[in-house]
Amino acid sequence: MTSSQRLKGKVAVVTGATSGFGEAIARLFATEGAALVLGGRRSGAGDALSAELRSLGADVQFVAGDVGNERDADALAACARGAHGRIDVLVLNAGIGYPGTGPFWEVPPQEFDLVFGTNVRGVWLCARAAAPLLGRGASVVVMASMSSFVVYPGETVYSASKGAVLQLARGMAGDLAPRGIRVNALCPGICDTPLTRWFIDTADDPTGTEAEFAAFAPLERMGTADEIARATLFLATEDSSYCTGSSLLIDGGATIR
Amino acid sequence: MSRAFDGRVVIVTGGATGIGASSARAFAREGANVFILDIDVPDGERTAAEIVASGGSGSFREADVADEEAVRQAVQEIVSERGRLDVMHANAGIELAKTIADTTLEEWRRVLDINLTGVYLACRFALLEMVKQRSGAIVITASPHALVTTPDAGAYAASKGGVLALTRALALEGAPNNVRVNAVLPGGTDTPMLHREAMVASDPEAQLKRFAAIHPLNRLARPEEVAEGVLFLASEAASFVTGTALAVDGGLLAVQSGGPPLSYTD
Repeated sequence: MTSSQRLKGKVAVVTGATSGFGEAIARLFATEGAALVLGGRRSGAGDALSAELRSLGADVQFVAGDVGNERDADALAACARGAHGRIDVLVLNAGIGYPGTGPFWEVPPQEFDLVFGTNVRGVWLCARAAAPLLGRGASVVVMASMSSFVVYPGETVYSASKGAVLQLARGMAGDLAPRGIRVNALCPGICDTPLTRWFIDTADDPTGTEAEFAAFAPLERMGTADEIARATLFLATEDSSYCTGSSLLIDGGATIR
Repeated sequence: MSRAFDGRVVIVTGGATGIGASSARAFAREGANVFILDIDVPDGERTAAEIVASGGSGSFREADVADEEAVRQAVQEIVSERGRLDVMHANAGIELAKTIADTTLEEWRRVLDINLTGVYLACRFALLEMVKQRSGAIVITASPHALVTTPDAGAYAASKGGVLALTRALALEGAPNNVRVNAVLPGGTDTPMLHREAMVASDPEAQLKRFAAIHPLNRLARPEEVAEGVLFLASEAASFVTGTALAVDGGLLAVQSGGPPLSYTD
């Protein structure tokens, strides 16, 4: 744990970088000196973030696309290959929490496919496209969830996708270990992100919902995207050089009671 | 440039050698005032002296973690001297390479006294101070044996399983006062303890190689690598992490080798 510029000279790819965790990770990684290749569905937000980070001196590429689409996943890896010839840190963050909510019998097949297409297939497609560019010492961070371990009401399909992506991370860790490449999963609890804000704002009782979310974890608050970004940095750097296949819960203690 | 633990007061139990010594050195490198508690006086004093020689703040106190009065007194003296306690790394532990069938009650009690009761004592006295100051971080050295084990580590596995449950209980207790409690699960780590374990086998060198090979990364951890996990959990970077266990195990828990179970005795 040294301070600052811990990713100097490293090439980092971050999916889902246009908001929430991905944006916080991109900002922190830029501060730490990484060259960034960012992916996201919303090109306006991606271009704006890239321009802002460039103005601070960062080397940033943005590739608009959907991780669940094979051509888009390949395009993201191709951008990293073209610009840098390799990937040192791969953060497979893109994921969706909605739609697909409700008891399992109410979820339409197309919503199931959308959730799994992004949260599972999207992680696999991006990892698959990036695998040839990862060398010894590279680190892959997969955004799983506390829902990889527990199921909350109305989140059966989402939780199934996060359980699947955790197993995907563990399997990839085994596949890549002989090449000296580490893969770890981050498992966040409820965090104060734009998605969570949207959920609060559209609830019948926004104030009550916000209080409920804050009381959800024993630490009596929501996590922040910055806290997720700092944990991602730990897993991305040599500080975690003997961690692979690990799942780091970052949930304020929510799943221990 | 500010360091992650500038001015922080850190206690490391079992800090004379191995993972604890690496943790003590790493906290000191990051600016902490480090206090090593151990029963191993020569190594404890040597590690503290090394920290001081490299420009850090480190001191040694002889204390047996299984001795309530010794732990209470050490924690209280450190707190009254430094005015606070920011981090407790409850790390002291011993191995016992024996089946339960071969474990005497005396041996069982010794393992549980040090590995579980010792952690309880260190954490209890730390928690009492941290709750008062409404901040603090506790990191406990558990083991993958808390979750998967071998046929000849019964008492050790039971003690480490207990430690993991204790981690969660302490985390719930500390949370309302902003005290975080987490565990590390170190895989095979290149420490004096591991070398002593390997000596049980007929060919210690081959045994160490087999130890290394059961980890998907196909090597042992350096104690410094485990220490970095401890520092992360104790740091502000982990401010929303509590009640959890971080495997620093080269993939041991996540990826099963499918091979036969490893024994200390062959």
